[in-house]
Amino acid sequence: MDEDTLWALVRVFVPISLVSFGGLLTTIAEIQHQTIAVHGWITDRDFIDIFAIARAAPGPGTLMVTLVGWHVAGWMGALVASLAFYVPTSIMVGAGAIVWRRYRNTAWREKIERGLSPIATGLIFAGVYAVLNAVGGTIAAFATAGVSAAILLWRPLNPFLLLCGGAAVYLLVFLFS
Amino acid sequence: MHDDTSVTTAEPQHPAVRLSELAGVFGRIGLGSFGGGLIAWIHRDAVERRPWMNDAEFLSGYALCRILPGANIINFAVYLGVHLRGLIGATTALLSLVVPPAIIGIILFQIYERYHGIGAAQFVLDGVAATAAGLNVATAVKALRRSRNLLAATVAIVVFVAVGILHWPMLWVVMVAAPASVALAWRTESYG
Repeated sequence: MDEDTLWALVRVFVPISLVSFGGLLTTIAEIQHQTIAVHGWITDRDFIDIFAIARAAPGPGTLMVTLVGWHVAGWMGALVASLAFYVPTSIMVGAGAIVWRRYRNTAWREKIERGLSPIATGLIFAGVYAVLNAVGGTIAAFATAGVSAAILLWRPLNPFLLLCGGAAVYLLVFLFS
Repeated sequence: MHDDTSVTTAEPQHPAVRLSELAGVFGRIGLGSFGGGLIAWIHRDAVERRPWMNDAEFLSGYALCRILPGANIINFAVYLGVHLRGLIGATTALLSLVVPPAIIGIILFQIYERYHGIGAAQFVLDGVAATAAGLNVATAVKALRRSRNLLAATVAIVVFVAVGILHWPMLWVVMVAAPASVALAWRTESYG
């Protein structure tokens, strides 16, 4: 596998990492755009599969980045994409922890949190929109997401059970149609 | 209760935490967690069951992890690792959290690729993806409900349109929108 692809992975994931306020959820739209439209590394189909498997597998959702890297360039790709995504934020946390201890005044922390919250909200919706479009942008896809969100807002259900439920419903629909 | 600068004065004193114990805690959290809620597990392991951090340190660290970019849980693993054992602690915590799930995820993906020619497999994953998108919607809706602020909702919509529909680069959108939004939060108490 060529070195150019690995560098391209770095150039895609380092900037995303640097502004990933709120974690993976807020970066999904940009990841989709970069990997499909800009670089043509994966198809819509791959993107759906990677997103679904990352959410269904154990562990942090950031697994999605590792899977994209793996799909693009094998084990090296998985390693490089993961490092590109984890290292910049980890350095910031390490540096931040030192500054944090020095300034214990919490007034401005709370203001920063409130200020970043709407940005994260907008980005999460952009990610949802990207996923649902990849699934085909059908009414069924939007309805599924709507029902799943409604259930979770109504009851604090285990998300993994909800994902199994979604899989079961789709399997039944597939078998009986 | 001393809520003063006790943390600022010196290196926190901890009984030397073994790296294997740190790896065990985060390895278990990484593999045993599905679909989020991991921070509650860390609280139990690091504050309630072990003398690694007190509640104030935990909450303060968690606030930092939420303000900085990156997934909260990943950031907190690094934070706790640094807190306990410095660089080597951070590396251990991070790797234990992400590597085992990554290997499982790749294996799952390889198994899936063997069968993805089957229509049912694709259809089922469409269902999982759409359901998972709904989980994300729930997260965002909770944040919106908490704020109920029109200006904040407008900022969220502008960011959504810029990144989701116009596909402007996220880096630049956030670099412009984040300071503006924090400035608004500074001015308005109900913003957020």
